[in-house]
Amino acid sequence: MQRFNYMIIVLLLYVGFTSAAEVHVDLTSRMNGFHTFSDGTTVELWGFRGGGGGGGVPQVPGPIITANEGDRVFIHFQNLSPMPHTIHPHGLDVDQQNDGVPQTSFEIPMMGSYTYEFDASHAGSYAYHCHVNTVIHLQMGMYGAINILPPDGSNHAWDGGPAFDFERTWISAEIDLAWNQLGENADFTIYDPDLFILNGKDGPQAATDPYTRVDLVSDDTALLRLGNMGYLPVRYLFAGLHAQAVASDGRPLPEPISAQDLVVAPGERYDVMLRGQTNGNFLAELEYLDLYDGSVLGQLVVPVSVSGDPTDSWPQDNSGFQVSVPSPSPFHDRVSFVMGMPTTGPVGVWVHDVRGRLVKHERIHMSDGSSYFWDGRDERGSKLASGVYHVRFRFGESVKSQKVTMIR
Amino acid sequence: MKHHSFARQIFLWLGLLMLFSMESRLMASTVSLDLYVRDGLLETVDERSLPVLCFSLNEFGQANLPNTEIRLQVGDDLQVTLHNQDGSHHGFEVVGRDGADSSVAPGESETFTFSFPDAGCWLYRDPVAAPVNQGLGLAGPIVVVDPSSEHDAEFLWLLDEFSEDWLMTHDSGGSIDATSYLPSYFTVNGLSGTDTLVDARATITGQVGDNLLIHAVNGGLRLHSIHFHGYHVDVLWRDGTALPVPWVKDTVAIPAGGTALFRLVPHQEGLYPIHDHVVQSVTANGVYPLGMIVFADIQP
Repeated sequence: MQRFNYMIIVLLLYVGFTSAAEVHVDLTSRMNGFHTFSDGTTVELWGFRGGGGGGGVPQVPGPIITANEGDRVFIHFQNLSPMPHTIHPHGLDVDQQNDGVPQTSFEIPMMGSYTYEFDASHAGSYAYHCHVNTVIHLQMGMYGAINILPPDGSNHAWDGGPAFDFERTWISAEIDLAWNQLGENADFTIYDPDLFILNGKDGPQAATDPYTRVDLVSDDTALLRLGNMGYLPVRYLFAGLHAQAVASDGRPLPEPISAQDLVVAPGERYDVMLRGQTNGNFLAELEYLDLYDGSVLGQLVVPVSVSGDPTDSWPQDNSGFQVSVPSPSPFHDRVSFVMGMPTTGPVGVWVHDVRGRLVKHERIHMSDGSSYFWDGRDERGSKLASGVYHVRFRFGESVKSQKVTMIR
Repeated sequence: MKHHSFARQIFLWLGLLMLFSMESRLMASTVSLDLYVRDGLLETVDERSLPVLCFSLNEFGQANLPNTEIRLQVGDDLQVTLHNQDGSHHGFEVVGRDGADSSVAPGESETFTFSFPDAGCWLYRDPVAAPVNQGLGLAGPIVVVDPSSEHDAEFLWLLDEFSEDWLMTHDSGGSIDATSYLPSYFTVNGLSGTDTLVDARATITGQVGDNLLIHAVNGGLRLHSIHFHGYHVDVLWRDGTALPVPWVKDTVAIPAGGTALFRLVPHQEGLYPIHDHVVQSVTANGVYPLGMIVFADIQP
């Protein structure tokens, strides 16, 4: 039995290693979408949908594509719509063939398909969008995010860059209803947007969207991937919060800059590390600016809650914080870690799968010698699959990580 | 796309000739230039001729946009004598440089002097009745080169946009409401769409591994967010100031009046568009993709 387990571990490690080298994503384009905003306005949408063929409507934005630095990404694209489309991997410096620009490569006709492929060469935040008659196809919703994690898939902005606990992808855009109603026949000499959106939603909808709103538990750090797929620059304000931009367009900034009043122009991306300062309810505010006089044409706010132990109660001395190796390892039902604590206090725990996705996050009050138990389930209590998991513990500024293998 | 008129080709060659003749003057530490404020034309990608105002090198004959590129070497002084042939007051300033604060009456001439201690690019424009006169066409680029700079090739983009409503209102003697500006033509060095391919200053050509410098000057009144396909660039310099450590970007917003210097070291061959990601600006009179777009043509 022991030998059999070892074989499984070797197999898992092998699968883990090779799956990090190729990422395959199925995307289809569709022009049968719609969305109703909170004021009752319904718009038609064109966009992308994950998975293969069949029925269904597009998602706007399209599904987030995630890979690790060093991966080869394959987007198996199928055009299930009556007009030609492409996928332009925006900011990924792909070769001409895979750039998705009809004038320099080719377009994918109705019912056509093509596999776009490129290297995820630098960790950071990118986008994809259709580049056919872009002025209207982008406006109608044909965009999504591509997020590249470091080579090890860990929660860092880049290899050796700042760590984060969870991430949010925020893509701003606008909708000009006159353009939306007429599609390719619209008058493109005047752009006069009526709706100012984030992740395809207006303000009230974004506020309740779990993939947009931010809930920080005390000293959590959220990585905000701010992207702009609209035609207006957007100014961000983070009153009462600690917000620093650390990277832009998939490259680290020479040094972090404050993200208060940060303007993200069309096509740009910024990675912002967001932390609370005191408990309370705060707002991240987006201002959509006029290209000519800089006046605010539209606004949107996203709630940011900060709860739990206030940041200023972090332990002064965390030098003695230790976490034991997992026991047993590999494990089947339950694994435990013994804490070495200089003082009692809150310990943050994050469990990531081998691809770097957060499967569980909690915060527990611990004391010296007490144990943390994990039952191999995610936050909803569902059993996770066999494989390698990374368990990260944080006490104040001190972070310890352990790797554990679960065998069902 | 479209075929260029014979007159237009002559104009392009004359422009190149002027550049070369100016190059020969670069040894001098003071570069003197006569500029005539005159009515002129913007020839659009859709074969229209729109009435504009020009800073022309010529006292007579047809005046066209784009306005001349003024090329200097580090340390040069620029002496511009402005001859106002228009019926309204006009002036000449270089954004971010001291040297001009008066306007020139119709029929009058005045000389302005500016110094350029650093390499980079600047915008010259008419500050009178701001921003209307600039919006009617009175804007152009100044490129200050460092002879010791080691690079393989150097390029220039004068970004601009034009409101047909403003141009027509001015042409018919009406007064322009500057609170509303809705441009529908978007140009690089006065050209749009694939027309920019005829301009060797706008089209980025070179080989993999070359060190290519690109000067970008926004002569328009709106922000342009320039997105590079195929490559990231080093942003070396912005709005008159060198960055201590370059930012590495694929999209760079250049506000009205702003300038930037990019270094592109291509890692791959190919033909890639470089365009405003304010995608409405990639149109000409509403037609995509005939607006603010240029190409990088990189050989192995």
